[in-house]
Amino acid sequence: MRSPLARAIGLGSAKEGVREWWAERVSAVALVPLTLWFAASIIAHTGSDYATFIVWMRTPLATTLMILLLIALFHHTALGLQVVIEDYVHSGAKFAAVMAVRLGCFALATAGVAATLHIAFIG
Amino acid sequence: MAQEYDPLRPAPVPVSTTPTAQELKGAIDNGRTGDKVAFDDPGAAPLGTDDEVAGTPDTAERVALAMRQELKSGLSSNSGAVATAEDSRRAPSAARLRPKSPNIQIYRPQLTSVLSILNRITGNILSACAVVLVIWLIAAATGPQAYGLVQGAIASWVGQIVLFGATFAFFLHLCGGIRHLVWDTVQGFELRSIYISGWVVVAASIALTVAAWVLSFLMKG
Repeated sequence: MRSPLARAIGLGSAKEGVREWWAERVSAVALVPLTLWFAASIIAHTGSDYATFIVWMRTPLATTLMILLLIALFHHTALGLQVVIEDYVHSGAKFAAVMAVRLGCFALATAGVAATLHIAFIG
Repeated sequence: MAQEYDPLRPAPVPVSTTPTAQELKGAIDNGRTGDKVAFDDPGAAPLGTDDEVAGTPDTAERVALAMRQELKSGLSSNSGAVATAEDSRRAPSAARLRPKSPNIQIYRPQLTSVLSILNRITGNILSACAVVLVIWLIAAATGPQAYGLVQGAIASWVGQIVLFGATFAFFLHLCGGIRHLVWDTVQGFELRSIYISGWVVVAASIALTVAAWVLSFLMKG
């Protein structure tokens, strides 16, 4: 038994979304060092040949950070694109678009992690 | 059939060709404007009153114009009519186009609004870049030929222009994102602080983009 006031307190106009809002911030904080590491590494490897690049990718640090980058990046991308869709798409296509973004990001993250592990352990 | 007496219901207000603000309020409260409920509308309360208090009461022409806009169908067809219970209960017309806020077509772009939409635009650009990142990793995992193909595309002049744009988008979204994270701690909301942090974001993004490309060229040798 809850009074209407008790149900209303703490609920904004959107009623829900704190979880997504918080997850977007957490992934953003993770992406600051991870993307800067990635950018610095790419700059450092300008002009490197394939063999040099693979040797670097196979180091445990590079493999670990690349996987962390992919997870944080696609988590952040999915949350960000979902907000954009929810702001501009109001028809029935909204549900399909959010679903496509979620599944697409999950698939891309998995493919990226698989490719990184393939480089690390198979070559 | 006699209308049931409701003391909370405003009395029907006649519509004249030279309506006063009071008449317009009455029409809104009676649900004659379609999208309002047939009850005292708090939003209409300051209508006319504020201007009268300020010593600049609305002219009859302006009120008549507002009345025409609100009633949409025009005064001619309703002239002299009295709002009936039928009018009051009229379903809100969904087809009626109300002005939307903010009216971005007529708003002057400001640093704050431009950076706000740029954060969203760069986020979308970086989503596309994330797809390229995965393609690049898959190419690297596939072998030297596939990797060489992707690297060749990036090294082409079109690829370099796109990469330069992507670099700027990345740093703008990064710096803008850090600005948002600072805001999330409820800091820097004063107008002056907002403009300072905005210009810092612009300057830092340009500086970091240039620095990244200069360093990259130096690495190439």
